[in-house]
Amino acid sequence: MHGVSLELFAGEVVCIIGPNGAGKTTLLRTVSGLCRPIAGRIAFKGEPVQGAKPFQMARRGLGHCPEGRRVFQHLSVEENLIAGFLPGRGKSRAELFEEVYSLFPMLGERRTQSASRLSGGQQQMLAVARALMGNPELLLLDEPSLGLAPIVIHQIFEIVIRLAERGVSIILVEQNVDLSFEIADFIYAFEHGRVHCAGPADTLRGDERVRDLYLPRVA
Amino acid sequence: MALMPIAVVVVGVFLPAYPLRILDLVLLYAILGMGLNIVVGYAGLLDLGYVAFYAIGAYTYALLASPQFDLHLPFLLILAIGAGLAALAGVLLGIPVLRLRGDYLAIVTLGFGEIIRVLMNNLDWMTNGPQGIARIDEASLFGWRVSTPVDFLYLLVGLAVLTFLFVWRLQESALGTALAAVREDQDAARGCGIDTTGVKLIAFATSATIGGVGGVVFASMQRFVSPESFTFWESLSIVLVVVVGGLGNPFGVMLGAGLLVLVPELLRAYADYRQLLFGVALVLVILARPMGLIRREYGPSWFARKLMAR
Repeated sequence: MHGVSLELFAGEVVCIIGPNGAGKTTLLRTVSGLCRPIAGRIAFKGEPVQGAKPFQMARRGLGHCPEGRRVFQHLSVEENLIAGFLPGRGKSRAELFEEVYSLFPMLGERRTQSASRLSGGQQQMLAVARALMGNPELLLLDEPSLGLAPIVIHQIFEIVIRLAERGVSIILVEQNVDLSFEIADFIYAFEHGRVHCAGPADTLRGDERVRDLYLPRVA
Repeated sequence: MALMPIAVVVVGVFLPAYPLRILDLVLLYAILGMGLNIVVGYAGLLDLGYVAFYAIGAYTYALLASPQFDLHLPFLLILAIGAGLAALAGVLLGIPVLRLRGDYLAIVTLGFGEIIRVLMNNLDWMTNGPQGIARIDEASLFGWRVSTPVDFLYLLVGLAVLTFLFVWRLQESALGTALAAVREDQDAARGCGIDTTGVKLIAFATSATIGGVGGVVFASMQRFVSPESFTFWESLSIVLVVVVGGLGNPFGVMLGAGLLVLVPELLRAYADYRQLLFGVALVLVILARPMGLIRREYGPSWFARKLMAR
């Protein structure tokens, strides 16, 4: 990725869209410390954090819900959540369990079930819930709609909106452009590791540059 | 479940010397197996050099309680030193090695096991080299002289119970869940905010500590140590105890220890075919039960729930 600059304010939902290989996932992985930047600065809550380890970022209040869900298949729902829990983030494990189960009642009903027995949508919810167990201030969501039925996508996005209303900042990577415009405050469109265009969702809606990204006009 | 150790003691006390020695050996392997299981079964890392920690424990006792340096420290103190040294070795080995995964980790740990053995073989001034160290002191605990196989039965049953309770609590703790997450998907675990290197290091050190304790007891039981007891085959046997018995399940490990010690003994009568028959038996077990004889789910917590439900 080259010369990408991106800004996010507390409580905002920022959406990153763009075709495959644009560098969306890489950006998220770099922010959460899973990839190391060769150059550049990353600041979180005003402090420089580039080069921090993923667990250090998590303790600072960053939750990462990875692409393709990556739940722990052979562990129970509850064990998955415990794995995501971080002590010393201001909320006890019991409080967070309660919060997460009220957000996703389905997970509460299946507490002892193995994650492999959940449907794709339920696994995605589990992945989001697992990231929430760290009580994050910033949540990175990498394509939560991947491979899911439209109705399930809808449910997940409703929860994303509720999280944003509670003041969690969200960076969402999406392929689904329409959905992104629906929930984002600000949109960044990536292409080939660069910011192709960016702007508040309202101004960028219907912008030709976004359309060009997916449907290049034949000159 | 609480009755099992009592049953072992009751049966053991009435056994003649030879079967009693074998029972002691089963218990020792069960302890080692439960220790190795932390790394192999809980964290999912293949460690083929576990014998190194066992050797460190054994040589600690041999050097500190024998005419070798004319040191005769008390058993409990050496138990603590041996466990500490083994833990230290586990951490020192772990720091560089835990960046590796899968086969590569197995190869390096195997090498570490060999390094320790070769050191013991060649540090003549300290370890007497291949001749080993003989005339090791009798162990004694608060004035109780631990010398006969029955004494060791009591000691080993006690240690096995402690080890069992310890690994069970570990498995159920937040650390246990973190290890399970590393085993399931290390990258996802990293993304969840788990300090994967940190938890693996703790797993390595804990497992090494138990190996060290096993080594100290082994040396006090044999009252003789030599590098021959700490070959790669020994490491492999302990891995087999875990894999055949049941990865990640202490009950399975105990069963595995029983089988892996007993079957070769029973086959002694057919000396010529012993290795062959043993090998065939192992292959059959693995083919029939790839997850081990007792699966992970049917561990202590499952058993406790069953008991409560009744």
